[in-house]
Amino acid sequence: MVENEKDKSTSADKDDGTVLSEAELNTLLDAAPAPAASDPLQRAILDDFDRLYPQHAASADVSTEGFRKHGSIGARQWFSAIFSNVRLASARLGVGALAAVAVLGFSIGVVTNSAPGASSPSLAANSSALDEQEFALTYFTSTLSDAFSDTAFYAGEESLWRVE
Amino acid sequence: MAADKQTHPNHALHNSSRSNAEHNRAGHHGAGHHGAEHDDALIARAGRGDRLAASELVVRHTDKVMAVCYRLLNDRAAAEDVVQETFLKLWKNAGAWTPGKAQLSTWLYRVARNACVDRLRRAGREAPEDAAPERADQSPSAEAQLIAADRASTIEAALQALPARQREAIVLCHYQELSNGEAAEILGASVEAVESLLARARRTLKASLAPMREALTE
Repeated sequence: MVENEKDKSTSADKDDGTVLSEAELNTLLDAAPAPAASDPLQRAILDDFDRLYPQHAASADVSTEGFRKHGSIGARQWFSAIFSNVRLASARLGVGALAAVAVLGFSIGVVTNSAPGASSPSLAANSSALDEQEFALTYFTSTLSDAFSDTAFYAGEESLWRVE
Repeated sequence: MAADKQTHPNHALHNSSRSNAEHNRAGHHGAGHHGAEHDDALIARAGRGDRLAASELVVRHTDKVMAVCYRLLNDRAAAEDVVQETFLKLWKNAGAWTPGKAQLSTWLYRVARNACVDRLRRAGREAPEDAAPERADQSPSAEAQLIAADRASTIEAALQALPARQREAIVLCHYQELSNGEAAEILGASVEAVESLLARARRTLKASLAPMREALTE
């Protein structure tokens, strides 16, 4: 029905040579497309968006500034960072502590085993036992120190990851 | 609203003459492709500062808004300013957008159209006098480019010669493929008023562009 009316009006228009038909007018109008939005315009629009919604960029600036500008972060942030990595840190601490206890136990065993059997424990033997104890203590503290260093590293990495 | 789309001969002819008409209509309703995120969802994400969503909205809608602004202002620089203003308003209101209340494209057209009208009023004119339409020619040869540019220039001049309201109706209904109801909403007029504006505009254009009939056979 609509198509028939359209055909009638088109043929009527064509009979009159002074005006275009509907189809001819549509064809001509389509021959004049408007320009598309340019890339600089689209970039400008997105720049406006970035200015209105800067929160992500701002939070990134704060967390990285803490490390870079002041060289340290506050105690509260440290605790937060450490406890957020508690599984990693505790695993490392556990391994370190086990190793230290094993070495300590071994050295104490050596000292106690050698003492009763010896009629007069030599100075060298005592010295050796003391050296082992000192080594064990040094190893224990260095392992603890490494564990805390690792925690600190992961804390920093975690903060940077959160920035991402 | 759906009925006036069918009863107007413009759309029946127009849709049959365009291969991408279906795609464009889908775009008006928020998502042009299967699986594409709806405009409402994108606005919600943009309102939370999601730049990717904002980017997708820009890609989807800037060309269409630019087309409306350019047709109404006939000045590319001014049209770009209005497009930017329009999207700035969108970003500012994105957080308060109510899903399903209005189509984004309709909202954008209305904001852009109002900004264009304000500009024209401030400039104290209905249409710019220094109209030298810029065209992105796709013709292969220099001669063909000149012919196409000349033809487009003549058509543009005929459009600009229309009274502002008639031009707006043609731009929204023919070029943006909106229904008469959608155009009425944007123009703040009744559907009957839009139909009348369209009919008068097309009658005028049919007469003013009649000398170009031979160009159709080239």
